[in-house]
Amino acid sequence: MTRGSSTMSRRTLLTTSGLGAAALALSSCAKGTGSAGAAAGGSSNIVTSASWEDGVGDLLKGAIADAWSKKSGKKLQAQASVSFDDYQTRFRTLLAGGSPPDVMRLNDDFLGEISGKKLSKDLAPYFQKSGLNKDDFFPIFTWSDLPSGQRGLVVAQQVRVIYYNKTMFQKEGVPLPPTDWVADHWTWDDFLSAAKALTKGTDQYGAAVYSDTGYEEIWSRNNGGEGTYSPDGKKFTLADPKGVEAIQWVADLTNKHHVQPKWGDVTPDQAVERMFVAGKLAMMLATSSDIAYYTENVKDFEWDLAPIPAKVHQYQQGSVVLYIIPEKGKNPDAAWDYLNFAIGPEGGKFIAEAGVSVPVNKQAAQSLKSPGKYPAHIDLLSSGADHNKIVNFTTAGSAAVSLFRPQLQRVYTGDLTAAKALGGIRAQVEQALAAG
Amino acid sequence: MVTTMSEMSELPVNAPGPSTAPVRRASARRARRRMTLYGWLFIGPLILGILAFQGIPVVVSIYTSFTNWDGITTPKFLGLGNYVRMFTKDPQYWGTLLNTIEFTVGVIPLTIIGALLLAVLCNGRGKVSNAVFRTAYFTPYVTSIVAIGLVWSQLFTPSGVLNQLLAKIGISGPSWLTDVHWAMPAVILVSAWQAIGYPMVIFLAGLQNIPESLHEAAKVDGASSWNRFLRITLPLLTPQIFFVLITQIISSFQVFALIFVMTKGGPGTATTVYIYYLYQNGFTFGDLGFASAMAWVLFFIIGLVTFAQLRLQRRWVFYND
Repeated sequence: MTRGSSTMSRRTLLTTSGLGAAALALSSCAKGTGSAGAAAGGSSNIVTSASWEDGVGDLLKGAIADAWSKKSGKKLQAQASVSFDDYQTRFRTLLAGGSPPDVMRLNDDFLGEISGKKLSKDLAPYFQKSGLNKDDFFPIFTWSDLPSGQRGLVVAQQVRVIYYNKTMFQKEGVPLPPTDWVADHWTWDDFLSAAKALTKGTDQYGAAVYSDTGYEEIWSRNNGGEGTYSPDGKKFTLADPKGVEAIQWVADLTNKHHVQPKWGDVTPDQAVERMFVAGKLAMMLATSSDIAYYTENVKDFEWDLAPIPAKVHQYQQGSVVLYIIPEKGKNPDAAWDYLNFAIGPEGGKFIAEAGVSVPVNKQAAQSLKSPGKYPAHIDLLSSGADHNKIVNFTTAGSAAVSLFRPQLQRVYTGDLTAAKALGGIRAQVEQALAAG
Repeated sequence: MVTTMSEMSELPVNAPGPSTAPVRRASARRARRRMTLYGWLFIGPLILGILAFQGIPVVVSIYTSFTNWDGITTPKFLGLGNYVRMFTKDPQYWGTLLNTIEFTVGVIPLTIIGALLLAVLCNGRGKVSNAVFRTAYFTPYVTSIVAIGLVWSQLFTPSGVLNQLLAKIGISGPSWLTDVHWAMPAVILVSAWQAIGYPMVIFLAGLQNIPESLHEAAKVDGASSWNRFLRITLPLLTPQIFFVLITQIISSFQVFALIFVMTKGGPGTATTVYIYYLYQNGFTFGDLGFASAMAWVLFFIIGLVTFAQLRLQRRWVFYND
């Protein structure tokens, strides 16, 4: 090897490497309309989306997206779904990154914050442009219409109900719960009596309520309270006497009556679902989105749905299936086209026929049916929509729950009373609500 | 490099006469400049990477710690507001710091003493058994922390395997992960179990580096096994112990994944450690300014602890140079 040729090859190598690196950097930074741009939602024919994994989310990115694609010639490109808890972090990170997907599912607790900060598009102009008639939808459709604008779109409602093991009830000779939203023979006392009759030491439990955080709102409202927050979203009313009494009643199911699995037994991922499927749990509170899971997994017994037990009221807190078009989304028109299809009679029919939620479109809701042999009383979901009470808006929902839920865990384990736990954290929660 | 050296060797460094000296110096300078340039070109990508992914974020996080940035909207400058809030207005901050110290104090002795014990046991004469046990003890270290957390969570449930075993000997086990008094010890135990493999390997390397002649001489002098361990093995292992102590303390201050998977900081705030609280502030509450301020305070705490350890090492670390 001569010196000259060696120098040349080194120079060539360095020059080529430098040019290559520069070209790579430029092409990475370029906002072209190639495949990378398309993947980021730059192309008007591709709509990107993000959601957490559950029955409705899967339909939205699956069957509904496919039907919309056939009709519109456009395509939905969905990110891989994550669990509900992990999605909250992903949601913020995607928004913070400045290039969010075109369509994003939003935890309904946070609409106030997202809308207040104008992080999602006001959909009112799209409603007008598409000629939407609000009479075609259930009243919940306008729930997302806030003073800061209509910045979220209600696609469906997930109704909270009691799932119960019918075979176990019959075997133990316990009267079955009612098949409609009536308080007759289905009060808190009736619920407790049934749970006691269905509990067999630690082999079989009568009820699991606190595994679904929605119980906080439901039990406190049904006890005559205002729910978790005051209507103006500034007071932590769960710490009021009615709320405290409700929380203590649920914790007592474990610590006093021993009819509910210990908190430590329900905290592992999907522990309650597995207990129910294994025939070790008689009743549990859950949203209608779980119907698909039990349809697929329960093999050995009959199961059905029951209304929430009543006290002063018989409300349920239905989760709203809510989607937004981020303000910084690259493809808002196509995103709206997709969402408009999802809330229409065609898109809604997929949700109704899957039997996991009540679509917001009245016509589509008529197709509501059980996805399998069970549950027999799927119609409880439609009537349950009329018993819906949503958590009052707050702009600091995530901060508030992060403060009070850890304290509730200490109530569930019997370490503190509800009065002490909620009273102790009240000031901090209200400080967070005020700051929000 | 070979070509460069050959270039240098062909420079007129040995040419005689004062008139050639300036030419020689100029050539040498050119060669040095060229070498410097090549050096920079080779390390350039790394430097750019460090600047882009470490240098700039560090500077941004310093600035962010003085703002109320939520990561989405325009940040507002707060001055020392986040730091003042941290030390004087946030009651949970001190609690998380204490929890972190409790975790560190619990996990460090358990890891180091356990790893030392395992290293001594795995340093025996049986080649096969040594290899098997070393692999077995090191496996948790390279296993997904999420998988470890999920499996141990199941073992720790009130009706889990652990309590069933305890019940067989007449002990009613607690609700490990949801009991305020037991959650932290349970997490410490799992953390030590998971991390023990790495210090064990370091100690093994140290043990194998101790000259056998020292032990033989002590044996001849009638020293017992315990005395030999105490007076030969342990002093000669102090550099490894010192290294493990520094790295493990830094890691324990940064514990997050296990807490996230097993307890999510609960019950109550019993296992809410520093980084978990930082994560909550940054990514759950959307308060990146406060989270950045927390990160910088942690940086100084770790720096201080490490500095103190470095200063104190003179008193107990024995380098057999």
